[in-house]
Amino acid sequence: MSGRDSLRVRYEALVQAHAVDLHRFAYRLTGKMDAAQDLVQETFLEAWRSIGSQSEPGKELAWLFSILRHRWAHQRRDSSRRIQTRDDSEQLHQQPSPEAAVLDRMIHTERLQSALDALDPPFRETFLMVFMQGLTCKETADALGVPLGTVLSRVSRAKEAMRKSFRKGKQRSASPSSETMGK
Amino acid sequence: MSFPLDMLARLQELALMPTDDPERMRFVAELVSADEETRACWAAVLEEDNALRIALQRTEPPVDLLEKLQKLPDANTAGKKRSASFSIPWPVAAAAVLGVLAIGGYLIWNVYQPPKGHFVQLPKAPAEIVGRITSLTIADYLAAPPLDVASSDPKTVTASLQARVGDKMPFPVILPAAPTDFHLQGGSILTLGSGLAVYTAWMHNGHRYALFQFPPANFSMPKEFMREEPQPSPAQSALATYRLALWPGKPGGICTWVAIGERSTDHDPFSLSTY
Repeated sequence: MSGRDSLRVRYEALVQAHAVDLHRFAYRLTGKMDAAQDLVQETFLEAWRSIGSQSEPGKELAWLFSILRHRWAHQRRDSSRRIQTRDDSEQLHQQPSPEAAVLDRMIHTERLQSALDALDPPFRETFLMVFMQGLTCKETADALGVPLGTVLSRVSRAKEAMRKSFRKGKQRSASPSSETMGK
Repeated sequence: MSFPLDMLARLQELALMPTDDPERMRFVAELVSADEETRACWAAVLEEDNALRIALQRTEPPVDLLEKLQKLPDANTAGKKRSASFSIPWPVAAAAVLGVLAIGGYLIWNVYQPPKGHFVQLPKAPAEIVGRITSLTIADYLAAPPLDVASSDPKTVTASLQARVGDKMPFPVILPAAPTDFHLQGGSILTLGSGLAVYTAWMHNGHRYALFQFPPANFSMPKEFMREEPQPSPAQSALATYRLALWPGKPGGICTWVAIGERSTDHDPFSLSTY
């Protein structure tokens, strides 16, 4: 088998094994099916172009996620979307809601994606890396180049913002308040 | 609620740590002697995190995604730049593609060939379908749907569920001859995948179990496949907390069974499969 043939076989195996997981992640990140598909295609195109340089067995998925997140960051820069971040050092630990597992009820609704869309990109990315990519907070901190405390704070605040978003959705509140981490 | 905020924050941090983290393991060991409110709060934090992980997986990619991705290399060369060594005539390129397909097919054929032996080995269920079934059934297990019929009497539950489902399923409602220490709580008819499913709730040693019976067509599942217990992965991290078993059955018609229980218990959910 030639070098190119073996690369093609490796590529096809990567698509079979990881495309669905990456698409789910991309959809939660972008909030749109077509944008998610474009992002996944860009990711695999870049993966194909540099597949020869990826030689660490067992690290393929992390490598693909890394490409995807870089492509997403690139897209966001291109579209000049204003990313409004808040002071990560500010701790925000709310009381659990009276409805103990309010997020559970999102399972059967489309509100989960709306709540995700309402998060600032760095919060959404951090939250999804922990809850979808399955990274530990330490691994997430290393990948993003931020302190561990920042990751913990972002995840905690993302969850709380999603709870608020969900509760507001239920109450059909018209306008988001300044407390939310809306875009 | 008067639970201290700093303690709640600590529980949330611990819940995000890997289950084998020494700090988390130490905390879990100490939970035995903790007060009831702390234990309840810890359980709520874990349950919320698991529900979120499962809910996030609930999205279906376009049906042609894999096909499009597989075609990407046809229009692009591997490596960062187009190398002269790849500027080859199209008949040679076509032959190379055919070669790759032939070799790939040969490799795949060999990988998926059942080992030779005296018995015919059933194929493994497709991972993608198992993943969908896992996500949806664990979500239902966590949501603990209200029971259409609450009774510990198998005959009562079977008759009630059969009356509700009518002839909308290609098999009769069956309850397994579960071990005697599994106690039936009741059941419901749910929507699972593209059709209906029979859901029954069970208790064993204070732990909750759920059993689902549904037509394989709900998920385009093969009618016959090898029993399996999916293992945790980044995409199915809920399986680190919950055990799930799938197997095919033929109780008067072909169906798929799924049983779920907590991973922390010793009891194998397959023990519900003795129908």
